[in-house]
This record gives sequence, C-alpha cells and structure tokens, in this order.
Amino acid sequence: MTVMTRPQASIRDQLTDKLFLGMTPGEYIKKQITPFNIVAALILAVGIPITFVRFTQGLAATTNLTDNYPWGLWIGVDVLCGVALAAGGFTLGSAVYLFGMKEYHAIVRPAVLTGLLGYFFVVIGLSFDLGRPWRLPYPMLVSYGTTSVMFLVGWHVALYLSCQFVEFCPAIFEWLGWKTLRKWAVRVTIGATIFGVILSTLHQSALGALFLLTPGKLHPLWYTPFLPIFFLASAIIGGMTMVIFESMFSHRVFSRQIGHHEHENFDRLTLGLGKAAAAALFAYFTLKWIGVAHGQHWDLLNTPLGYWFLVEVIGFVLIPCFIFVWAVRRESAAWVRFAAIYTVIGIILNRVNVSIIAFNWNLPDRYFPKWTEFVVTITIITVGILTFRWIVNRMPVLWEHPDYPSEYERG
Amino acid sequence: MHTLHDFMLVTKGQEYLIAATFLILFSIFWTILNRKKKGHTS
Repeated sequence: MTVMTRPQASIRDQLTDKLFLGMTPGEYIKKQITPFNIVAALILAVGIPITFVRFTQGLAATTNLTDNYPWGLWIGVDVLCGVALAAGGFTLGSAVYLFGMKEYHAIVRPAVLTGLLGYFFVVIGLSFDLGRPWRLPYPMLVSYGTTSVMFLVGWHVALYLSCQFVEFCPAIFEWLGWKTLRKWAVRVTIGATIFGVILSTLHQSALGALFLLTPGKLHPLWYTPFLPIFFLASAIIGGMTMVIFESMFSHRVFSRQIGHHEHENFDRLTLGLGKAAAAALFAYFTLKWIGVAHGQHWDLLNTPLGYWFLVEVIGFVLIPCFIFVWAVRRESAAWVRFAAIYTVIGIILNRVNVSIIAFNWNLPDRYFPKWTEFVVTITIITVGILTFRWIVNRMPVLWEHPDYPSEYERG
Repeated sequence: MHTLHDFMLVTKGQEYLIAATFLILFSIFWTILNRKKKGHTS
C-alpha cells in the first residue's frame, strides 16, 4: 500500500508544483485576482458567448461580411497581421542559428514562443472566418489543390507551426525534466530552423501572392506584381520590431526572471535590432516606389487614396526608419522601442490597407466590421497574451535552466 | 508614351533609376547609421 501511494503523491506534488507554481490551487486562484486578469476576464466574458454565436449561427450573425467583402477584420488583422508579426521566430532563428549572431541567443526563445503562439492564434482566427472550419485539414488530407496559393499557405502554416513547436520543445522538456528528449530536441533544432526559414520565406510572400488574384479589386497603388516581395520584406521588419516590442514588455512584466547581466545586455541587443530594422525599412521604402513606377501610377498619388498611400509609405515606413537611425546614433534603446511600436502599427496599417481599405476601392458599398468582429479579435489577442504569460511563468524562456547551463548556449 | 516600347522604356528606366539611387543612398545611409554621435564613446 505504501509503495503504491508514495509515487502517486509525488506525481501530484510535481504537477501542483509545475501548474500552480508551488502553491496550492486555492492560493494560486487568490493570487490571480489582479487588475490585468479582471480586464482579461471581462473581455472573455463578452468574447466567449460571441464565439458560441459565431459557431452556432454562422458568419451572418456575427460579421458584416458580404459576397463583395468575403474577407474582413478576421483575415485582415488576425491572419495577415498575425503572420507578419509572428515572423520574429524565423528572423531571430536565422540570425542566430544560420548567420552565427550568437549574441542574440538570449532572445531567441521568447521570439520563437511569440512566433509559435502567433501562428497558433492565426489558425484560431482563421477557423472563425472559415464557413466550415472543420474542413481546415482538407488541403493536407483530402483535396490537394496544388495550383492554389491557398494550398501553399495552408501547408506552410501547418508545417511551420510544427517547426516552431520543435524549436520550442527544448524549453518544454527542460520544464518537465525530460533530459533525454530534450537532448534530441536540441539536436534537431538547427534542422527545424532551416526548414522553418524556407517555409517562412515562401508563405509570407504567398500571403501577398493571394492578392495577385485581385487586380481589378485592389487599388493600383497597392496592387503590384511585387506584392509577394513586399509582404516578405515587411514581415521581416515586423518580426524584428515585434521582438523589440515583446522583449520590452517581458523585461518589465517578468523582470524577476531576468538576471542583472541580461538587463544590461538587453539595451545593446535592442540597438542592434533597431539598426537592422532601420536598414530593412529603408530598403522596403525603395521597393514601394519601384512598385509605383512599375505600374506607372504616379498620377494616382494625387487622389484621396493616393494621399493615404503616402501616409502609409512616408508616415509609417520612412519616418520610423529615420527615428531608428536617430535612436541608434544616440544609442537610445528607449527611442528604438518607440520606433518599434510605431513600425508595428505601420505593418498593421499596411495589411489592413491591402485587405480592407484599398480593397474594392471602386465599389459604392464599403465594409466596416461589426462590433462582434472587434470583440473576437480582442478576445483572441487576450487569450494569446494569457497563454504567453502562462508559459513564460513556468518554462525557461527568459531565464537559463540551472540543469543545462552550458548546453543552453548551443540549444 | 504611344507604344508598348515607350511604356517599357519609361517604366524600366524609372525602376532602374530608383534602384541605382537606392544603392548610392544606402551606402550613405549605412555610413550615417554606423557613425556614433559625438559625445558617445562606447
């Protein structure tokens, strides 16, 4: 009897320790009553019933989507912005594992986690928008639409999500104390990263390629054969700036988990990322003008949507680029963080322009999202943040696991 | 522009001009980006 009960108690203790951070369930629940959690609970209290309505009564009950506007806020923000801003995983992964920039290793795990969760919640957001979400695995299992860009996007997102999971597995196994599995996971990390970079390059650009199918619908200033290149270039910028943005919050919210040395190093890494973002923004700014020249749409710049295009290209590409340069030269990490937030807003604006504002620009009826669409988007973002916090509070994402000090440098 | 040839000449000409300007400006941009402001020694 004693032999049977002792291991059970041990497993329960381990589970309690890992899930409730060493507290009893009651203590843990009491500690969760914080202003942030109350706001999150209120958002979920509205969002969950709307989710129920969406999946029981369909898209018409919860969206303003029509045949003219089959893609709305959920695709424009949840999917297009989500994928672009989750590019930090592949950007940092390439820098560290492929280009040997080992100094950025400390921020690879948070970047991979942001990417993993970003893509996961993209799939969640996508399932809200699909008429028959249970058919999501069809491109993988039933119907091979090899001539469709959507087929490529579907496969790539599924494979890349798996790659990022593999890249994040060492942290999960360190948390669970599974040393052998962790050793194997570290060994395949480099392969998963290389495969992930290939997949990201293709599907980030493929999301832009989706809009190549809409030459008569997308405004000529945004429609260009270079759309795939624009989406990839802006996703790289989005990835870098999101890493700065996410690190800024992580270093404040999870300050206790990060050592003093890491805090000092953090500003230096931020400046390095800011420098890379400035160069990428400068190149992206030039590419945008090559797009205008390619279509010979200079005359359209002197129209209302042309002014809006200038707001996007000058206000949200060139100006943040100059702020980055100014901040890097002054060695001001705070200004680099400001420029990063500014750029993230610019990336979101670009995706919303392409998918909603400049889309069907010549139609008299305009799409504006229903309030329930906003609530679902906010709910998904909230659940994403809660999941990120849950993982970071438990797994070695921002801190080095004491059992793997030297291996951590490599994996 | 009256012919397709004219259109291609103008379009490609502008694109190459933008690309060449970028290459020149980028080298200046990179120099400025990597030059520390006076007073910052680290």
